[in-house]
Amino acid sequence: MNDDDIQQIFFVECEESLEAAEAGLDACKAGTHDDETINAIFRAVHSIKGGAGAFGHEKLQAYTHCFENLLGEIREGKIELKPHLVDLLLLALDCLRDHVEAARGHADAPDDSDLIARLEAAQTGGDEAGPPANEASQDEATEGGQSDDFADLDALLDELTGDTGPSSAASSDTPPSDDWLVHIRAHAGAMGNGGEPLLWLRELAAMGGTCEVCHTGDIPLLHDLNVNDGYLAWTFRMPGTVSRDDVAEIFDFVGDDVALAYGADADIPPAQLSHKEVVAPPPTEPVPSETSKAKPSPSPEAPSAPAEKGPERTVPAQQGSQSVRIDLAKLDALIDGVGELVIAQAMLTQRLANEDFAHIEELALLDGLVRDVQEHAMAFRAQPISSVFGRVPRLLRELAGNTGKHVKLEVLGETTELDKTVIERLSEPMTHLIRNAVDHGIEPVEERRAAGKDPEGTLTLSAEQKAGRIVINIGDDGRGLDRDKLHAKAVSNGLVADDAQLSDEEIYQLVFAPGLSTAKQVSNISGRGVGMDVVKQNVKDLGGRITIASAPGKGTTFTLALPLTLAISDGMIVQVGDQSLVIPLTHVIESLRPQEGELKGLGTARQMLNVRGQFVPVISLGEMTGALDYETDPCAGVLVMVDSEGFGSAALLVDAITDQRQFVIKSLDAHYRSVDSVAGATILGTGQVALIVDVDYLVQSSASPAPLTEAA
Amino acid sequence: MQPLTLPSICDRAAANAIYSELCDALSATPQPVDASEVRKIGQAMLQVLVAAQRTEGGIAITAVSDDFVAATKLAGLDDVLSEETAR
Repeated sequence: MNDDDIQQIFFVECEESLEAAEAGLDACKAGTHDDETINAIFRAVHSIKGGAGAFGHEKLQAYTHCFENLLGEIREGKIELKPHLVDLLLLALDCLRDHVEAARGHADAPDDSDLIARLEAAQTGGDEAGPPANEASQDEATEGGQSDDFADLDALLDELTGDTGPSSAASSDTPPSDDWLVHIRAHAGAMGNGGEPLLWLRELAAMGGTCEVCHTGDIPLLHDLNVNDGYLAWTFRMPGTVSRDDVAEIFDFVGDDVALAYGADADIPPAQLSHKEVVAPPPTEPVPSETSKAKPSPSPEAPSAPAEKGPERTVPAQQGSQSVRIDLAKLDALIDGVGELVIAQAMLTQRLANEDFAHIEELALLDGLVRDVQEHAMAFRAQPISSVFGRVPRLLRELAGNTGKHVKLEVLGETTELDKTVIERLSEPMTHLIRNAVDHGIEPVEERRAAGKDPEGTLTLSAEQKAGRIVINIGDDGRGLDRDKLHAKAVSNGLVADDAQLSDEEIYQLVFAPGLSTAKQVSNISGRGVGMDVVKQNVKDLGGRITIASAPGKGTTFTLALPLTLAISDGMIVQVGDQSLVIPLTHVIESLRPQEGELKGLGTARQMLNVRGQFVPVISLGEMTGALDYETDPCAGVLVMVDSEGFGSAALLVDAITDQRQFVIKSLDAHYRSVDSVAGATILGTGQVALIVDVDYLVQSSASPAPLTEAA
Repeated sequence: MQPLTLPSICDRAAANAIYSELCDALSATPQPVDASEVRKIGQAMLQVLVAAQRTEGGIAITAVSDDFVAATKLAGLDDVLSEETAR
């Protein structure tokens, strides 16, 4: 694993940390936080800072340092966490996210000068953050927190040159009786990759720790010194208000390059020196620091607080992980392999069926095992949808800034998992729907008050797994879609006939028509009529469907139904002339063989099927695909009833249904080129390539606006 | 004796450079070291200075910057590496 690989892991961990911090701040916003919530936020920001330093992202590190300083003050109770301070922290988190993106090279570093000034002001209590609980330590912390000079990698050492923060204040007080000791040994690696052990000391000092002893006994004479080795160790006295976990967190990113020991009875962790034999230095007593001389405190041997006193213990700074990170390319190769396995299994089944061995026990066993392997492999790619939902609070904050509408967020089912590819491609359409919901759906405060509603709007996001699909709802409690206005706009744009009788759902689906917007005012957020058609296309590209439910004055809910995975799906294999085709099972309602009286001619070529009183168009797949010798008489073939998104149902005429099974989706774009009405291809058990029918396209093209106009 | 001036950024690379110079410069009398330009200093350089100080002849820190003082204080080495105590 090279540095880039390690750095990529850092960025993944940044994402996790940002999510954790976001969740924590949301809890603060909701008033449901406790001390551990603040600790978690601090840890998250601190972790990012540690990695930023190790990888030389100075701007990110400088910013997180400032952010962390304020969080540290809050954690120690020196600053009260008031609502406006939570808002500031949320803004700071947004900026931190931008910094991480900049560090990844995805964007320019944000201008954080104003925000840093606000964070520092909040730390001093000089602005709206409210009066500090401890003036003295605040002043100290402020001086220590100034960090305007981070021009290079080593600039982080600037921090060392400032005041040591609360430690100074702490050292002037009588130490509480529950002080405890921590011994830190920095090994050679701690000084590499931009790391600097003195920064740890800075952190300890910021927590109120004071250096009791610097252990210099391992330092040899100059000629025997290896500059790259770590010879120094320190004993710090920490106040009882600081936990051992707090201290251990400082070393989260250090790994084996540091050794820690706790308690007065613990030995100083030994040095790990790389050079030959250390010439014994003169018998030098540990050099006491100024603090220990000026203020004789309980000796390190003296018992400290029972809670913090413990047997000698050297702990690794980082605990072993319960998970393994895998290169995505390797995972994709596994998924591809599983796809081939599914195909091979289908071919074997076909071959054995030809030999009249279709029902042997071993084949059933193999079938079960292949399905298990496939499900497990797919689970590797599954991610919780919280990674998408987690970005919404920031979006709402930005929208609140632009629109003045403050919207509450309610999230359900955020642990629902779906394929990583789906997750990645879901972000854009969801963002657009949410922007629309806030900008157009949710009314301004005055309007809501007048309507007797809560002045604060509510956006509800939910996700659940249902019938082999993931169903995501994005709902607002706004004014709802204006059915009449939509219809009028569609008529004026020539999208539908003036007197066309459309159902509510059909009218709502018009919002996805290109160029149609009923917004009174075009904003920089939405209302230009571009975007919603892209949303629909994005969802469709994911193999999903989108539906709308709306009630005037009560709000609108967009429902996205997405496949669990893009790689393997269930389908109905049908025969059309000399062609085998696959109809995705998610579209199939039923199949039937009609009686002659149930069919009605429409014009010269089109036929309609009367299904329990409702007429649906009959689409001949043979005609669409150009197959040879296909069945043209619906009464002699089979009609497969399918449901499409927004254009109703249709009956697909096929010769026969031959199978229903899992199929591996192969992109036609990648292997050939994009073809309308074809969603992809797969390999059947016979080894034959079968095209996957794009049901939505077929139904849409058969029920295009022109026929609709004619029908009306 | 020509004083050896520490650079403003005393990171590990600087420590390696100064180490060689100090090895050559140390003699029976304390080698003057000027730390007045130091803005940043890390563990590696502090180790070099302590090792030099306890080697025969030692060093004499002739001038210090505020940043140098703050860093040595933080590391608990202010008694060892100060103008007053240096030999």
